[in-house]
Amino acid sequence: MRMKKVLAFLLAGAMALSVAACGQTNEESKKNESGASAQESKEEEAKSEESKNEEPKEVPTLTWLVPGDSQQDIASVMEKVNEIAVEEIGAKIDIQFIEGSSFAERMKMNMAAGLDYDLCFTGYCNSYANAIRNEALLDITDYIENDPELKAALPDYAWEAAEYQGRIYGAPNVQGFARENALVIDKEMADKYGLNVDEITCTEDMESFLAAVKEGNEDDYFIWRTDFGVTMFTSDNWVETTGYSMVARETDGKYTVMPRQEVLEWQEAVQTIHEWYKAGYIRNDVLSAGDDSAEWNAGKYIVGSISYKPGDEARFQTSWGKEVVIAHIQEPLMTTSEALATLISVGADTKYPDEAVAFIKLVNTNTEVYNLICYGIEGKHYNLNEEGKVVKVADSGYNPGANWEFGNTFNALLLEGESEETAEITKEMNLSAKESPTLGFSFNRTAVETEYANVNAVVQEYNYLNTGAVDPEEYMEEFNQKLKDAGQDKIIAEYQRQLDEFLGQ
Amino acid sequence: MKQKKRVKLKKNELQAYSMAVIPVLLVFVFNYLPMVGIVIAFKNYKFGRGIWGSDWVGFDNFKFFFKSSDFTRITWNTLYMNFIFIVLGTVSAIAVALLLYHIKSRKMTKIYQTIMITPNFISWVVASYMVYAFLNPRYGMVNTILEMFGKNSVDWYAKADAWPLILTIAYIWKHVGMDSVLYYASLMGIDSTYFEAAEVDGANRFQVVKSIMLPMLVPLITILTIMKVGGIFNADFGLFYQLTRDSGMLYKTTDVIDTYIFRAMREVGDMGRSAAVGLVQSVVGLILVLTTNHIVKKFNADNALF
Amino acid sequence: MKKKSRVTQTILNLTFIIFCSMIAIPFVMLVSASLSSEQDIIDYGYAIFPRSISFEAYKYVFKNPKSILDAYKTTITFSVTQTFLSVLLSAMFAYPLSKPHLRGKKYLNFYLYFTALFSGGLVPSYILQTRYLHLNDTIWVYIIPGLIGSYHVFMMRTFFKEIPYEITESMMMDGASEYTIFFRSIVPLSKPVLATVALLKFLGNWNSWYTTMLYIDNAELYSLQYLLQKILRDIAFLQEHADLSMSMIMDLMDVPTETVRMAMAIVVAGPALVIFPFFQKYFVKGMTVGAVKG
Repeated sequence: MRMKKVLAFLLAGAMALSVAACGQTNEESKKNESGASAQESKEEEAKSEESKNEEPKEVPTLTWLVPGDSQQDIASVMEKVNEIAVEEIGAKIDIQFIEGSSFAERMKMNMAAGLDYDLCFTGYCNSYANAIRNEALLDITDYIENDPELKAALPDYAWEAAEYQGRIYGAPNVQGFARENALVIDKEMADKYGLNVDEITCTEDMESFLAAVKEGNEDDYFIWRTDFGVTMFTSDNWVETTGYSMVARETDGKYTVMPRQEVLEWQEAVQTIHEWYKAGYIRNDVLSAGDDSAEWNAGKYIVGSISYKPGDEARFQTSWGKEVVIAHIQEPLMTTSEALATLISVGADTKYPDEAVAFIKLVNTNTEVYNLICYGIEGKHYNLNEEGKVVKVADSGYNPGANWEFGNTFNALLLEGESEETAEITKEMNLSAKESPTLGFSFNRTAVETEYANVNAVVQEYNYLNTGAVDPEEYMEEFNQKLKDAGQDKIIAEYQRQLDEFLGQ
Repeated sequence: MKQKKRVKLKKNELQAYSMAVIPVLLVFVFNYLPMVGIVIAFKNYKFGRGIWGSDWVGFDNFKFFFKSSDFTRITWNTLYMNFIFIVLGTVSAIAVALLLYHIKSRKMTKIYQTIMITPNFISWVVASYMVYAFLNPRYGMVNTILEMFGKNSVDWYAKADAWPLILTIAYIWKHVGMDSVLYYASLMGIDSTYFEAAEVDGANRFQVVKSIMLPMLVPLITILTIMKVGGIFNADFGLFYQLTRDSGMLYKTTDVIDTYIFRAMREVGDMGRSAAVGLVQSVVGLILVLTTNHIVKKFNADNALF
Repeated sequence: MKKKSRVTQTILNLTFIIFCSMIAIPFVMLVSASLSSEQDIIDYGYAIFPRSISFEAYKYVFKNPKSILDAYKTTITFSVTQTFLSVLLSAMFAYPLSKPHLRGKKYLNFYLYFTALFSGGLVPSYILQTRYLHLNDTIWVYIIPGLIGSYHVFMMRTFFKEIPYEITESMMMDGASEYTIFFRSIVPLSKPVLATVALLKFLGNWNSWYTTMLYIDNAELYSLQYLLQKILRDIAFLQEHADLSMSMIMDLMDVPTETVRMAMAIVVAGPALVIFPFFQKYFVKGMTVGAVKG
């Protein structure tokens, strides 16, 4: 009998606990909700009284989460930054580094847990679009529209690229945004086998050179690196869409979305790559080689594909230890994905949205603040050489080495070895690059989530078609069928509808 | 007298339960409280809204898994490979334990055990480097040997048919040592009077194994098997993902539920759908465990898990 | 009879020697790769014996000895603490479950097993541990959450069940409390299973890295596995990013990625391998003195 009572007691206790716990979470979420609405009203307030007087009230501290190793001497840097920040925006800033490789996962958790942070890095390792879809970022469109200074802080193309369904949720850290796929070639080999890069207009033109190299038995090297797959062969009137299962093609000014595997050029490209594999231009273990970056960085490839950035010639020369030549085969194109690799966003749960947005403006306009954050304090963490370039002090306790995390990289002091010219060309490229017609367009996949996930899985499975290791004839039909089964057509229809709307066609 | 004894038992029962209070609470806090997260499977989960603030979507999240064109393939691969692992894993562990038991030299036994257990320290990532060193089409040792015998070298990462075997070997390589220790320890615990009695009866070694040792292992085998059956719908992600180097050519035989979900969700990052598949895996596991447990109970209630 | 036995022993031993060599070959290869020069690996691939011995990889791993030592310290501290507490508490859970006549234990069994099948996923655990329990960035986050694992409790329960009831009954008749019975009789008799679970637990702790990734910011609290993975990633990261001064790039050019990877595996697994024989000795002893036999 007593045993039963004890059990009953235990159970009751457990239930009470669980109820309490649920209650707690409920309350918590309610709090969050009310927090959100309070925020909204706060925003409105902010709008109505843009310029409120600075009163000697408590100075809020903004937490800013960025990927990177924690910096020992961050306190002294923050002190300097805050001297300016308090004066300019009435808030202090506290940068918190989260180890780079954990950043994406940690941010997912932080956003899910509704932890307090005011600013965060979004982009390549904390997807901007995913964060927006999860309603974890603050919509800053109105701030930008109401504040010409903020709007002017970044070039227009940057703001345009950051639009997600017409709204902006972050400020891109401006750097080289133009994407240009190009080929890097070992110069010694190019000379030896008589390659003139100026004559190369498309990837297929490389064929005779590759054949010559093969003939020459350069056994110490791999000839052709396939990591860009068939994208190197595609002409630039295509717009590749995420997941690489569809392309938008222009005919007479109208863009039509179609399954990539049904595009003739793609089929031909897959075939060409397979021919190259059979001819021995591609390493025979390409299917399982996986991450070959060690070999790539060591200059073990004769030809490889890159997304070209000005200054790459010098960079490859250093890392490969030999001269290279670049074959430019595509026009630079301004695309959303390049621009959305690095941004600063404001957390949806922030208590200080005004200050946070003001800080974004500050870090993008005030070069002193920006350079402090990038390099630390002059004389302590870095010195300037006679050319006025940054020479970092070894083991100084502050060296994040990631200017692209903190703001407009064109505002940064140059490092020793970097040339003004490169920076100028990069800027130039941003302005002159052809704008992708879909710049600023982002696909809202809510209606086709299920299909989207399944198509994604299929595309990744048949990724080996990109390597050339298998005969595409054998797998093409199967691939096509599986994509259809996974619901590709439904995604394409939805994509077309949204694209039409965006382009107004 | 009798009554007195019963009162005493009850006191002891209370004491026994009181011992479990801290562990039970720990399980409650760290395992049961987070289970509120299961509702994510039924929600269109948005980080910004939290678990409770997100909208209910019923069974929408489950569609993705069941409607997948690969549903049959991944389900079959998962069940089939896990079944092989359970059967061969158990058989090999018992065989090793029995053989080890018969080795007289304690020193040798220790050495063998140590070597066999070492793979347990190795993560699948590192194991995948090892496997690659064997199967790499360029430098791999297997191909070097094949060529020595005048055979053509093979790109193993394109040969789907070979992988159920390769993965089974890898699984046994990693687990046989540790699993056999469990059985070995049990064998060591068998009362020596049984063996003496058998010797008096003139039983030979095989008879001893068959009629004394194996029956004594049955409770442990049963418990371990029931527990493994619960996980039959979950695949060891590291094994299937790392060792195959995620080569698409192998998916025919190596694509399992966990790798599929990972692949489909890698870019999408949708927690609701992942949670839904996880829930399906758990429910199937639960049903299987309850069924197995029920069957076991029919034969011998003592061996059942609960 | 004796001769036959010797033959059997030889056959058995031979079988194990072959079997164990097969199991050991990959390790030999790992050690050999870690001692090879990077160039040899790229040129000739992996081999059972290195072409030339090079300690470059180890030099790189131990380039910053303080962080490695910190990681060893942290990892040892939480592994030992966690293992001890976990074995103790799991045994205290398993003991009542092993009692043949205890009423209601069926439910308790199920209560435990249910957790092996169902979990709420990462997000709720993360919320619980960071927002309510504030375990993040402390060493406790390694220790407390995983103390009770159903698999280990059931292993212990099975073992406890096999202990002859007479032993505990006689103590009970003498008026001993369950606590006395447990600590005086069950624990000493159960050394084999306790040692086995301790070993499994220790290994699990030793290899932990996910916890670090999710909860730890303080570099001194990094686990060993995590730190070594980070070293490896840093090489790749630095090699790919141009935002470095030239001198740093030159430094990085010669970092032996492949061999470092292998050396790291050795650095992590090595100490655990050294520890294992001690456990084994302990539990072999535990088995021989075990009163289970009679």
